[in-house]
Amino acid sequence: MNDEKSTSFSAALAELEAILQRIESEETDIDRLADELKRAAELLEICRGKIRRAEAEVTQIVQKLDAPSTD
Amino acid sequence: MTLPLFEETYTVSRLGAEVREFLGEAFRSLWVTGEVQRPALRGGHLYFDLVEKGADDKIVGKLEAVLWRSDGERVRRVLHAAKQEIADGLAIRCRADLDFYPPQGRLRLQVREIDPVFTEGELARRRRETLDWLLAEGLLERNRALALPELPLRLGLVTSLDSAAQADFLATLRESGYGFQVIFVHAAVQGPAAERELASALRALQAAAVDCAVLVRGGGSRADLAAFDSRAVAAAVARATFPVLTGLGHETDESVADRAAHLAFKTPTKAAEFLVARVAAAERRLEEAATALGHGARARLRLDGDRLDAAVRRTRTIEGRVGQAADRLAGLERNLAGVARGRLRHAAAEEAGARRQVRAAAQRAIRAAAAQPERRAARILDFARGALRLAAARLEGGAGRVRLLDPQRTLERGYSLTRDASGKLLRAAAAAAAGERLATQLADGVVHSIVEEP
Repeated sequence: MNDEKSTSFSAALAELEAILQRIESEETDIDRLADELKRAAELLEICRGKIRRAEAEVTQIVQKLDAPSTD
Repeated sequence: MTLPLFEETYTVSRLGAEVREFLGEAFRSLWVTGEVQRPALRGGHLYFDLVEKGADDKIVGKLEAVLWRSDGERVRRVLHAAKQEIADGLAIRCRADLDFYPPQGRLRLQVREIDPVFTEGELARRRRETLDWLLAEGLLERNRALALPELPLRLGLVTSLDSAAQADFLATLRESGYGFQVIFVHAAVQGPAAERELASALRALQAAAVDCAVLVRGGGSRADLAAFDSRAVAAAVARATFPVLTGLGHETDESVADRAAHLAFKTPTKAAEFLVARVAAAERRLEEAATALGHGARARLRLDGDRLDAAVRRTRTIEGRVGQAADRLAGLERNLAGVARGRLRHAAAEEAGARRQVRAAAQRAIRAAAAQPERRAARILDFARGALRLAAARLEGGAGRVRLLDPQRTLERGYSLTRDASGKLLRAAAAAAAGERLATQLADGVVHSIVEEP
């Protein structure tokens, strides 16, 4: 999902906590509660996906560069 | 004159042997400092170059050196106790004999012992120099100031390919079951290439958009850490655009790379454990948020439900009040109807009384009238007639005129009215025919007459 790529974990978590706060502080209209929960579920899915997506996966970039360091 | 032919003449081997003897006595058991280069083990003997570098790392002195197998064991034990070992680039102070080897015409140092204190001091000096430089450049705290993501799942791993460090690090990540993605960049962690490869590996990761990079290495001697004390590696760590974690496998010392890094761990495994714990913490926070969200939403719904109930209760109260009001109103209506009916009854009674009174009065009047003598009845009649006339006159044109034309008044003043036989008023003398009977009315009676001839 594009959403998953564009949303960073911390941003998603922050949004999640904001929704939570709104719900708890009764800022949320009951009409919007379902929408908020839907969004929260999406965010949860994104975050869980990020954490659990795959087993440790190793991309090997065996460094061939032999360029002299610039320092 | 001496003929050149009779002067002393050496063979190469004899000269070599004399040089060897001479040098062996002149340069015996000397302390020499230099940097080890290209160490190579052959047949148990360690061969290397001992060099001295001047400005710009230019070699200004170089001698071949050998550590014979017979000395090697003892020397290595001493070094090992100081957590050192002979490696490329290591600065050493050694006790050696200068030896010339005639078959090859080579001059070389036969190393008998190496002073670990000097090496330690050299490493410390070099470390201090690098640290001072980092501090002066404002680089020492730079990497620490970067924010480490809450969920560090995309990692750059810099270490030696197929090393124990790599295996340990990856095993810890795999065991966690989290979705780590590791971009591995090989770099030698010791030896002459280490400095350059470590620095360029870190730079290569800039393009990989990693959450953080991990620089690890298995255990090894303190001298092996030389590359991590170098300016090139320390600068690459400090200038990285992502946080760099180190796990360099040493218990006591801290390398400059550790100092410049975001976080330093003792071993690759500890670095991996830290990352796993961080991801676990993020997951925990997420699950807490999820749970709280459920509770929050339910609580919210409950709250709204309660509020709804309260509203219903309030509405019921209002309904009750309305009912009471309606009851009261109905009561009032009943009362009103009663009162009204009472009034009506009262009024009807009053009216009936009045009617009775009126009737009684009329009857009294009739009785009274009936009881009057004839004369009075006549007067009443006259009066009634007069009243009738008056009413008629009024109809014709006003009360004054009626009074004026009242013939009776005129007659009382002495005038009379004369009518002919048919009863018509006689208004002109010519209208009276001779012999006609006329009736002249006076105020108190009528005079009949007959018209004579005019």
